Amino acid sequence: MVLKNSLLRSIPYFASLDEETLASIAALAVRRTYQPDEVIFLEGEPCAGLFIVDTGHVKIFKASLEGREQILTIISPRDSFNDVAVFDGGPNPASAQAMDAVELCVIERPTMVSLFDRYPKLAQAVVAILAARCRMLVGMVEDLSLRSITGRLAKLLLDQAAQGQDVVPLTRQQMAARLGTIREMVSRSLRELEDEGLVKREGRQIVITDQAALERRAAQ
Amino acid sequence: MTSPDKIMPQIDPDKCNGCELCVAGCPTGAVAMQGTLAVIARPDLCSYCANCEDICPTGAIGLPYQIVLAPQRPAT
Repeated sequence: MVLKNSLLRSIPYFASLDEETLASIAALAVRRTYQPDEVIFLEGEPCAGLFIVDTGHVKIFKASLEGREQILTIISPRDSFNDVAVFDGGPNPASAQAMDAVELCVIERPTMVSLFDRYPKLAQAVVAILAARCRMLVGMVEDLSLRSITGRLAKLLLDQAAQGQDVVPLTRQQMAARLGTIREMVSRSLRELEDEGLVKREGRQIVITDQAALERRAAQ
Repeated sequence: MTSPDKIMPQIDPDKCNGCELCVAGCPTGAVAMQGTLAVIARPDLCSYCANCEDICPTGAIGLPYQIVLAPQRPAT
């Protein structure tokens, strides 16, 4: 399998590079495939490099010793992960696991570091990406500390629906792991939203029937 | 977007303890035992009622949901 320049160009780090440079980076990238639920790497392991998802979805998560999981984010196609460990050279700050069949490529840290040395313009993309990651984590702190579980669930449902095409379907357990709670609380909150007429379950779908009211709920 | 009819209950073989409660609780016979593990043997029969997920004592079963906005009604 050959890594396409178009995949690299879709990643903000590489958007400003010319075709020749992209081709040389693509030649250095290692392509890997993962089965659903296969672990890609674990928190605390040495950083293998920057991972770029071509197809499938990857969950980035922290796990407690008791097996409780907090999903930090879900990576969709044409997005990268493990950026922080690439930049600071430390171990992986979280674990990564395939949610469905995943194809991705890995660019080793030394390759990334040499690119930053050669192309100072990449630094702008680095700052933008780290700022986005920081904004996402601040939002998560806000959700976990200031919003009710039903409010968090309402926000998650709206976010999922807004992503449209690339979004991966979520189980109640996975919703709980996103929201920092347990499955039973998600079930209870979902019933609450159903009783209020904001959402309804139709087979394999949760349909948002009153978006404006759900947005108000998400603020609580 | 994943086609809704392709979404199926997920059973984690590492968590399944083979208790067969999901098989007994499935109203359509979609769940069956394969050796010591529960599997969705007849996906075409699955009505997505979530009985299996609710009844599983180890949390091995999960039903993924696609989340969508209701279609907009045309302006009158």
